[in-house]
Amino acid sequence: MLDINNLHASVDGVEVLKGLNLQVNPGEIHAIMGPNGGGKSTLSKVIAGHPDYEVTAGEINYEMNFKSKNIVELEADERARDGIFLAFQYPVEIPGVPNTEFLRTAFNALCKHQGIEEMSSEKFDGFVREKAKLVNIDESFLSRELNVDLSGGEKKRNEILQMAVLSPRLAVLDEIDSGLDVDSLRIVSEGVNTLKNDDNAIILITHYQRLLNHIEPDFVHVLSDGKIIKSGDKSLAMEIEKRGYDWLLN
Amino acid sequence: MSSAIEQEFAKLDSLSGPTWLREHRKESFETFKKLGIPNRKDEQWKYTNAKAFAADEFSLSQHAELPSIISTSCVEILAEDINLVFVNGQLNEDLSQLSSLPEGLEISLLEDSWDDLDVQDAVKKSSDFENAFEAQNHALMEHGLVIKAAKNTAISETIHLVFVNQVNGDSEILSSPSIFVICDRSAELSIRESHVGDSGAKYISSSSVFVEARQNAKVGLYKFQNQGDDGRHLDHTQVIQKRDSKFETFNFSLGGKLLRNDLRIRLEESGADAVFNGVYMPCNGEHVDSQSTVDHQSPHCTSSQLYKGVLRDGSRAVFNGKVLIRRDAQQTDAKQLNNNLLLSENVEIDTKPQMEIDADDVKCAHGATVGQMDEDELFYLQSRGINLELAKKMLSVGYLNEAVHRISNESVRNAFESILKKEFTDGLS
Repeated sequence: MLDINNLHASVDGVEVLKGLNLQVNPGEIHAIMGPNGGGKSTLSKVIAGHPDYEVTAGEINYEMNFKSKNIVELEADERARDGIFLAFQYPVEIPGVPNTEFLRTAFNALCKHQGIEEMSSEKFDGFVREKAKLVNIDESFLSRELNVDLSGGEKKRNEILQMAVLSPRLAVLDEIDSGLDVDSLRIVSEGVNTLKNDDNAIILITHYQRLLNHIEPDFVHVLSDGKIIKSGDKSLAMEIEKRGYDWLLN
Repeated sequence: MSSAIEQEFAKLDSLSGPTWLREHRKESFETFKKLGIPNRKDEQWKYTNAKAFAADEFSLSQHAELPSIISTSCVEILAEDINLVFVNGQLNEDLSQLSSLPEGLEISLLEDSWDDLDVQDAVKKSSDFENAFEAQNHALMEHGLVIKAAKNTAISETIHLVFVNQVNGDSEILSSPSIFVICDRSAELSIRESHVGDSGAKYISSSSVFVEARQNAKVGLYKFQNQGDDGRHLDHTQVIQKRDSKFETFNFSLGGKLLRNDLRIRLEESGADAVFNGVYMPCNGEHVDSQSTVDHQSPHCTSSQLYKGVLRDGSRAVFNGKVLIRRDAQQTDAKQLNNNLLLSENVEIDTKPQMEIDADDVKCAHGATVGQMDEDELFYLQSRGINLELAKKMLSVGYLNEAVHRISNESVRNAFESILKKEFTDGLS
């Protein structure tokens, strides 16, 4: 589904990704760990198409309907409509835009792209209420302004709600566990596990092995200095938890 | 000095009317001549060409033939409980509700109210002219309404005043209706104004509203302006607040070649509270000028102002807000903020938030911002599949909604929200 090949990317003229390779197939969960400043968040932004990040070399090949294309030149919204989703480490607060209206606009943009009839606002309200149960989101939350005055945990749950509504093929979850208490971590993880199936894939970016007890990865990669320096299964995460990163860096 | 105004004044002067009114018009006309049309040296007219409101050729509405058919766009917006329709500054009684009003509410034609002592008092109180146009309105005072809420009555219905500007043929219309609102002690009143005009029509709409909120009264005044592409609108609003009264106003400047809003609020007695918010969104070369003065004359009063604007495509906006805090106005709490979002490069905003403080025990905050759309917010929306153009529209609506959401009157708030949303989703770059 995703084949990243010798990816180099810069932000403000500074190279952050320096020849990164990663293959992700449908049905897989990949965890990406690594020391601070190694390029984890940059990778997530580059996959999603943030305009501040410039790909200077390499390819991000994304396969859809048995056809693979390099998405490097696509705008963020085009990638999203093709099924790529980024759960933000710091979801943006947008005053004046109600949550449901935002969700409906995004959902209908997707419907339009896929040639499916758009959903009426009444029908959508019912649909989104069902999805909200998945991440234990109160209904009052839906009519509120997007992410405004939400706690860290509520914002993360709102990200997963968006994922549930948009049902992406490839979801990149950037530190979805940061700032979560034990209960929120459980709710968010259960939500992600429910959304996981054989046709979609997830890239989990995290610092902590704790998240991987809740969402079990098929692969664990260590990203350092802009490259993946080690890949393995979940036992690699356990080892990192015990030993840190130093043994991998030397 | 404009000879057209002179002729119109002479016509009016020859008509019958009570002596005090004829004298008042005459004095106002003298003041009009003395003050003269403001020029750019005048601080309040530095960024707006006053001459645009002083066209040489006028056909005064009350003396011009009125259109027999009212454009449907106006009828569609007769959305409130009690609707009153003005056409070129003159009330159309067929489309207006003047009887079967709720108990405690009295609405009468200004031309029938000259003997009312409250009206005489209100005319006098609103005669502290700041510029020639205000004096002009008084010199030509003839048509309008008097709206009164009786002591201790809360009028739950919203009164909707619709001002339609319609031009027959090539004539130029000047309409200058005067509205006097008197909200008696512990009464509550809510008024919505819709100023609309035909595209292509050349006119100047110069409306004045005077509000007196007596002790413990509560008044809401919500203005919506969507004039035609050649329509010019001058809005004069003067408010006097007595002890513990509350006044809330909102100014929604949607469209028009040139919109100018002058708002003056006087907090005369202690405990009065004034909330005045607004939004403007000029595009395609439109010009919106929002001037306001809140005069804190007494202790323990509060005032709060939030004006937000989104500027597009060669448009221009002016914000000039003045908060005066007099020596006696201790324990004042005043807030003033003007935020602007510039969506294209060829736009201009001149913003000037001002405070003059003569009291020493007060809480004041004021400021202005001018900025562009937040890249992180845009990326967030785009990352959910929303295209850049739509994302910009959503953020513009959201930006302005912060002010619209503060409207306490539910039906007005809902109406303004949907107008705003439609404006941004129906077109425009």
